[in-house]
Amino acid sequence: MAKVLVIVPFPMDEDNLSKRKAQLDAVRLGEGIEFDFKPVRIAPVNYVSQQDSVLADVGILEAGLQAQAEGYDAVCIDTMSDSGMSALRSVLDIPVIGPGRHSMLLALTLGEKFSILAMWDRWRHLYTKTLAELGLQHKCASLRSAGLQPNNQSLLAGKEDEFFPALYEAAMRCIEEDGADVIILGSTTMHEAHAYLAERLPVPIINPGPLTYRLADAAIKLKLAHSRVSYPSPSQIATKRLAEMGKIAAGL
Amino acid sequence: MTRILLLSPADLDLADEVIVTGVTDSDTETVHRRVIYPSCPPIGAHDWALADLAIMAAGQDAQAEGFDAVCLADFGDYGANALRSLLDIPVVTAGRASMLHALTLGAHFSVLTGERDYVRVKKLVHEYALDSQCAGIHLLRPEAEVLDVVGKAEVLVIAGGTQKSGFDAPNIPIVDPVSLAVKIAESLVSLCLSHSRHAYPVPQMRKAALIKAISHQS
Repeated sequence: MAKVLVIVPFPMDEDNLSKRKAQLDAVRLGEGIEFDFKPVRIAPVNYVSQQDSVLADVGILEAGLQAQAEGYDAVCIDTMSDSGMSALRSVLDIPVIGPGRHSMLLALTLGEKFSILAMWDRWRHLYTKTLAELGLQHKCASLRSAGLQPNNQSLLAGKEDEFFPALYEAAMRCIEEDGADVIILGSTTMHEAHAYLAERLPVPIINPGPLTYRLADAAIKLKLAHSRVSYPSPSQIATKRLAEMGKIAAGL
Repeated sequence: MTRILLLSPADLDLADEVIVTGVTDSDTETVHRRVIYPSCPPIGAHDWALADLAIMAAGQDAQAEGFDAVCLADFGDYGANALRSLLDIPVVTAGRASMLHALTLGAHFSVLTGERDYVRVKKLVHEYALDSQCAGIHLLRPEAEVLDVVGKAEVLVIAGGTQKSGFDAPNIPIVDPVSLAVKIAESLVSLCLSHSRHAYPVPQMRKAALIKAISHQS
């Protein structure tokens, strides 16, 4: 049985964690693979500034540091920011899948240009960072948001009537005004809107969380992990220090 | 159950079992068909135009035959865009999928290729706007030179290679384009994703009979 660790980027209770796990229902997975969802201990309240990005990187690194030693075959990161992905790749030999990078590259197998549909504009920096790293800014038709305040715990529950049509309208503008061939949901927290949008939009829309589960399966079966040349190992891993940091954060 | 049609160029003579057992889900079936190009090897634009036609002919009925996806094993991606315009099911190609996937594994990729595909790979890298992400396109030459290329690469893509070709470079991810294409196709089917109709519009009139007639392989 292959085991995949899904790192959830905020501390949360079982009820809210189940909303994250519900992403598994959106993809048909083969036999012999299972997913464990683990919330981080170190995190910002949301991802809107550079302070948040640093805390997110450290929190996800801490949460995944022992994944290989614990017997996991791959790690998925449940945030489009790909926070902690590079840091974890530098210390783990198993595949580490970040939905931001993977969904942008997969979008280019489905069309020539993609747009990223976000809840609010304060997420823009998450996408511009990955686009710059990939050097694929010219393949992004637009970054648009629906101007809605997200909630990373309860997600979209109870707000479907207001949020889903607003997201649809913003997505249509990506297609009609910006020339997008493919839409990417700007956050794994938006997964509850995917089916609604997929039914109505005239172009494919990528649900980034479920995509990572399939790509983790592909990476395991193809025995294909990241390049050590691109992600060199540190001279020393700060295992003890990171564990202490995790404990301190959990106690606050 | 997922049924994938894998089309490979006859001149490569890929084994029927090109996809290693255990790579796909137990209920995924891969049907492999060889396609003869009218002008082979495909080293220039004349050959490519005919290869486009041959692949389009071989794949145009895939959806009607009940396949859920089509994979093209030729790194040259011949006929891919045409098939996307004709089919609603995903069409995943060895060249495009493997070069994009290589960028999930490292910041730059290098391509190792034989003379058959060298010029075509250069064209595709440019067409897919990956010039600045491609560290180099190298002709497969004697062992020592290959090792030199491998030594400097972040991620290696073997054009025309398969998982059974036995190429080995410890510590560097090597993308086998055919296995990858099949795995990505399976993933797209399981996510109910296919190409965008905005990028690949359907023709106003399909010419299936004409395509079949002029591509008839005796």
